[in-house]
Amino acid sequence: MKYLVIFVMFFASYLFADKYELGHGYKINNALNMGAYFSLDYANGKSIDRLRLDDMAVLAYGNLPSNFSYLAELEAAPFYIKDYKNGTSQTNTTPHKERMYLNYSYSDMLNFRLGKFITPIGYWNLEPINVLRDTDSNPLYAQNMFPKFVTGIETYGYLDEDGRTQYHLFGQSTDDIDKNYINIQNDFFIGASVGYEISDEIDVGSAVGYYETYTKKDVSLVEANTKYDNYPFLLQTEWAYTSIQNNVLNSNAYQVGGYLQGMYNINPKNALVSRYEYFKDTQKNVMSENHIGIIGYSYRPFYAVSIKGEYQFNSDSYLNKAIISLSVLF
Amino acid sequence: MSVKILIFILVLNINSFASEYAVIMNTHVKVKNLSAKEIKNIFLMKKHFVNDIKLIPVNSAASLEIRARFEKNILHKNRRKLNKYWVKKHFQGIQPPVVQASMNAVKLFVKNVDGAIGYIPMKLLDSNVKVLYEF
Amino acid sequence: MSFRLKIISLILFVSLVPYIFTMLYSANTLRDEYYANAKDNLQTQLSLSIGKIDQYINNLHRDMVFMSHMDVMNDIYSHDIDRRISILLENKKKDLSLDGDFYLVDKNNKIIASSNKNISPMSELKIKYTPLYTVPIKSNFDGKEIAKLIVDFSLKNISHFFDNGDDKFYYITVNNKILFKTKSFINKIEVKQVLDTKKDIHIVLEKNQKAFIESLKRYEILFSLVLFIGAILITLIASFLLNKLIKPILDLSQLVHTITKTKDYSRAVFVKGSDEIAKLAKAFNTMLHGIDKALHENELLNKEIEETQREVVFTMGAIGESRSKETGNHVKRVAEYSKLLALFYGLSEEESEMIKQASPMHDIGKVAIPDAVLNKPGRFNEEERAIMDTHAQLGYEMLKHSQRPLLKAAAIVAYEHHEKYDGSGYPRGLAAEEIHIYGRITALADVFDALGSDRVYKKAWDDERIFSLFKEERGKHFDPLLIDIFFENINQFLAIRDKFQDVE
Repeated sequence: MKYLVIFVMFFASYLFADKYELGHGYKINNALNMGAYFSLDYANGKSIDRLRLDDMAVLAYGNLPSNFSYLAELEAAPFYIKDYKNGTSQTNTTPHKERMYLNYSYSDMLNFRLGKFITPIGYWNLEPINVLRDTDSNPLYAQNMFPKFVTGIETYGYLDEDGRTQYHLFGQSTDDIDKNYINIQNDFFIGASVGYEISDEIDVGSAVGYYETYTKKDVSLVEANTKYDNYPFLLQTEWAYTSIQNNVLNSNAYQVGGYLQGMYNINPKNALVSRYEYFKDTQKNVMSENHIGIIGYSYRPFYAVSIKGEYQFNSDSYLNKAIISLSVLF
Repeated sequence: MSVKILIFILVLNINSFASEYAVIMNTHVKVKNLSAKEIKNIFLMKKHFVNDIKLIPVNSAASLEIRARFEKNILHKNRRKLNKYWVKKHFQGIQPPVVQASMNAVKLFVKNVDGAIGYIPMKLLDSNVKVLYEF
Repeated sequence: MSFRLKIISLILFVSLVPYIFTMLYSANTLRDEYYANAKDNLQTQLSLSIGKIDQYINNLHRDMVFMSHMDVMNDIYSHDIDRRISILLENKKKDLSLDGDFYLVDKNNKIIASSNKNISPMSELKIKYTPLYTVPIKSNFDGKEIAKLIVDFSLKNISHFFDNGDDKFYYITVNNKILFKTKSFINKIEVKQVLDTKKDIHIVLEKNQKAFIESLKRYEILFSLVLFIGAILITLIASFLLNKLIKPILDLSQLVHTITKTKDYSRAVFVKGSDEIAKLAKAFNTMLHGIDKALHENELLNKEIEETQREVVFTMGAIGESRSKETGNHVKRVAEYSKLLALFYGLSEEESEMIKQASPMHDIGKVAIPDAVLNKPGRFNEEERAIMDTHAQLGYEMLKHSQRPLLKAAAIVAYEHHEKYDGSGYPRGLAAEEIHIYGRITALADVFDALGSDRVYKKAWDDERIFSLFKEERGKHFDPLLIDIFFENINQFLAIRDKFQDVE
């Protein structure tokens, strides 16, 4: 909780800062910017009846002399869960190191990053927090197919003068800094991704990767994504295929997953969202194939404050549910 | 002759109508002219270097007319879109450019800081700064 | 210095001095404690105030450091043309209620921004009070120092924390200068402490101690009173004890004094108890008793010796007399007459008594005169007279060897009782004052009695005849002065003659 106190303390002395804008962080100076976010959601269905204060996070970042910069983020999640279905509640205040890295910019083409950072694959994974999403839920694709974070080094930059083509090369050969705080525990991960801005509205990208999990699986990954962003419409889709070599069972399997999401802004604050997602995992004993349809509504009084509601139709109707959420980025 | 002069004045007039503002840097820095796309990337904090010189983009105050013109003509984004952009960048650990409140302040800042890049009305131009782009 | 005074001084010295010393010491300790307490309280007050001041100055410094890192410092590059730094500094000044100003200066000490609205931009920095803190400002872009933030700090800011009152006030000393000292108390205690944040600034808290000192004075008067009463009490107890203790000794000394004066050795001292003094008194009594007894025995012895002496002399006189024709009482009467004359003449009682005892021996020389001459009836012839007259010389020869005063006197009487005042007597024919007074007295007494008595050779003369002879012989046979004395006191002589009449 200490970091929260520190944050609140700095926030209280906001008097000294430049005019504060919600969602832009609290800039103390060039070397220290502070931010925080949280999300509160409620899910209800046959399989679930739960109130959750999911993320409770603070982040600090800034520029250091000689083209260095840094970012550190601590998060406690899920901070609080009240399960109405079995009447339990659970609090988790231990802060975890979600991101912690140092950047060095040599040129626009060559930047280096050392530490724990978000895996630069696709769109969804780069904006994983509730307040930046347009739906309450994450697609299965974004949770089950590759580790969300890399603890290692990354080289990235633009391959052209105009900054249209972006690349990322990353590698990890250790455990995660906070190895219990990642979706897929692994101790080796390399990958590469490219993104290309066809126009101001259309963007495409692709990635490949290979990782080895704690459960002795060697996984190879191919991914592709594209986005069309032209107000009031936003359309994006991401698909991936993984080939899994299970060294314990000495068997092979694969996953296919992806989604297509469309949004229509009724006005700048209100939007309708719909998503179709597909996920198939051949590792399960019973071959698992999921189709999920989502319709939702998003209301943002400010962009950094998101109030959303959605309903999920699952191919296994037992999993159907409604979710509402409130999330804020400071 | 008179026709030439007339055409020249006409062109000048058209030019002066078309280009009220200029993107500037100080004269110490050897930089070629920049494209609008490059300037956009610089002010969106995507591009940081020109000829190995670290760039320091300087915005003018949000309330100024020139800022609106710059956002519309160069960044091609409205305030709402920019806000969304910077909220997302905040999550990624990237802050928008520094701000100087007045256009004179932008000019002084650019004059005094090597690598600083800003935009001012053409009428404020002087010998301490050089023009990289006009809009 | 009397014994009593000495003892009193000693007792007072051994009791009063430690008493006074102890009292003074405890009073001093108490007073010190009281004082230390008052000072402690004051120190606590001062420390609290200093804590606040230090916090204020610390806050000021922290705020300056904070401001120096703020993004708005980018405006240094535009020389604060939009006054954003200045406004920040002005607001900060207002927030802190600062006396003094913040100045942001470039490397050439030119003011870029300040909280002082009257300062024109880019003018030279002029410090009005004290440049308390200077914080460097580094570029957000290259980390180089681009300016300095200076606070011109008036010490008046500190004085705002001074909780001055009627009986206390604070002031500042800095580099031996005294500031904000508005008054001074005559009786005061003061404490001093240095600021943690600025080691050259001392804060002094001075408190009026009039009330304190007055109460201390009241306490001191009370204390003196207790001390005085205690001393008197000790003195009284000491003298009471002393009286009891030394009264026997004083009694003893008083008695010794009385005994010395009266020579009454029969008295005794009475002391109760069995202590040393009582033992001494008993010993003294024993001694007195001894002395008394010894003296008494001595006295008896002396008396006996004297009696013996007198009897011997008298008997010798009587022996002399018995050799002559004179009757027994003649010796006694001559003795009495002689004593009377001697007394009237002006001799002392002792000497007169000695003449009385010596005079009976005037005719002792007759012992050596042959009976034939001595007892011859009728007149002596020339030869017989010459033999008879040798009795004076003979008596002297018999007695002259004695060293005893009485016998010496008797020798004189025997030798000179036949000398005559005009020098016609015998044996040596001495005249007037050459004749010893003993001789002159005895001559008169002897003749007076001889004439009045019946003798072998004659009848007694009547008084008329005796008196006329005496008058005639005044200055011839007898000393005129003695004759005058005789006649003046004739009745007493006659009374003696009547008392010692011869009885046949």
